[in-house]
Amino acid sequence: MVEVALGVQFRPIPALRPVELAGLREQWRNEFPIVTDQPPVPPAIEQPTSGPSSVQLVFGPALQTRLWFLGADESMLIQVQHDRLTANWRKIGDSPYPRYPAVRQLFEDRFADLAAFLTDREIGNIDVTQVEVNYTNAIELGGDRLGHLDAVLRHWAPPEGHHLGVPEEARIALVFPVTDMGRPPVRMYVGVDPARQIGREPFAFLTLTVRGAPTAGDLGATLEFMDGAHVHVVNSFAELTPPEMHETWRRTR
Amino acid sequence: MTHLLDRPIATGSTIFPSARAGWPEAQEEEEFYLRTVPALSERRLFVQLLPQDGNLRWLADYVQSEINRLLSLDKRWDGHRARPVTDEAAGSSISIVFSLCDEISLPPQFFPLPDGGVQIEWHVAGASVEIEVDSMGGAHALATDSVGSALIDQDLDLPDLVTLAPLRDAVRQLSLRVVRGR
Repeated sequence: MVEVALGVQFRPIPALRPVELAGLREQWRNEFPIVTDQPPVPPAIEQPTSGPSSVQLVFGPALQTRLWFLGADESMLIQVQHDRLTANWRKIGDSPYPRYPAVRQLFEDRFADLAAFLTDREIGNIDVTQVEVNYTNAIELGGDRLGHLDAVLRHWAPPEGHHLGVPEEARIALVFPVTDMGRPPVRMYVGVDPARQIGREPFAFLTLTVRGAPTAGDLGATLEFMDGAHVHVVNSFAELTPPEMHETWRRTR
Repeated sequence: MTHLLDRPIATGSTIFPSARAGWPEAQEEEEFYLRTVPALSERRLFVQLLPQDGNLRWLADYVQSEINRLLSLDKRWDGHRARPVTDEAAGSSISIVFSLCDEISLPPQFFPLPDGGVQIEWHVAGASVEIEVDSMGGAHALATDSVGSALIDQDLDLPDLVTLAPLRDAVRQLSLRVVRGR
């Protein structure tokens, strides 16, 4: 596993500008001493597959940015922008995965911090509209096997008898409706993307992402959604991947 | 026309950045640091359009780009005394376009007006639909045929979609002429 991201999108708070976040930076300085600017991430809201045509209009200040609050080894990360809060664990060097409860606690604590900060300064309230849980695995394929999805997905059958032989690279995206949590539509996305990196064998990113609206816009409903999404991610990994990968997963999750 | 379903995945991940390229622009960053944060009344706004219907994603992207282009104009953009496009005009323009357009509609052209309003236009083979949105968000529509005779000449009552029906039909007829001519 190389990254876990637990995050929310909330109704835009135009006044939540970098200059306002200076106070939060002081509050988090001990745990997250490194702060960097990143371009903001646009909204990603699960849409119904059909329905009347309509559009949601969001006005906001142009001078928005996304702030990264990084821990000293840069493996723990908090991302804040005017309509998003995300807690990440990233594999940096040999940093061990702290497991889901620790990342969940990291998100919960920072959500509470941000909510109190916004209230104290009369900037606004967090009204969560979407929750997103993302697990990313990097799976070594080795050699010229970027076209062999069967090394990642147990149900994948490589094309046989094609006149050009085996594909050089292959990628796949699966979208599952999730009907037992949140407010519909909730979806799980599974993606396999080939990747190369200097100095290492070719590998594939296996990403599992669950996104949708919680049953309410508060922290409790958000955590409930994340817990449900985590179960779906764990089950999906076991169901989709070859048995030999499960041992590796157990060692690292 | 076929539209591929393009859904953003893993937006919180740092491995797959999905941020919009080139935004905010370097000039805006420079202004931010040189002039600090502008006063609230001077702050430039932008819009994001989130279509509930995936088939209109192309229109949302186009309208968002065009309206933000107009909203980025400074005062005196015409070299004289023009005002910046107002939020009210931008909001009304977006509402009108999404009330009139469907999957086969031609995308309209957008022009700023000196009073802070927006002009929305469709032109096909001499026929046209033109909508003038004033700085307060009020709108007037004029549709003409290919010889210049007025087919529609009326103020628009935006919440009342009934008054928009003839205009919607006029836009559709213009679009069909292009679609059938391809």
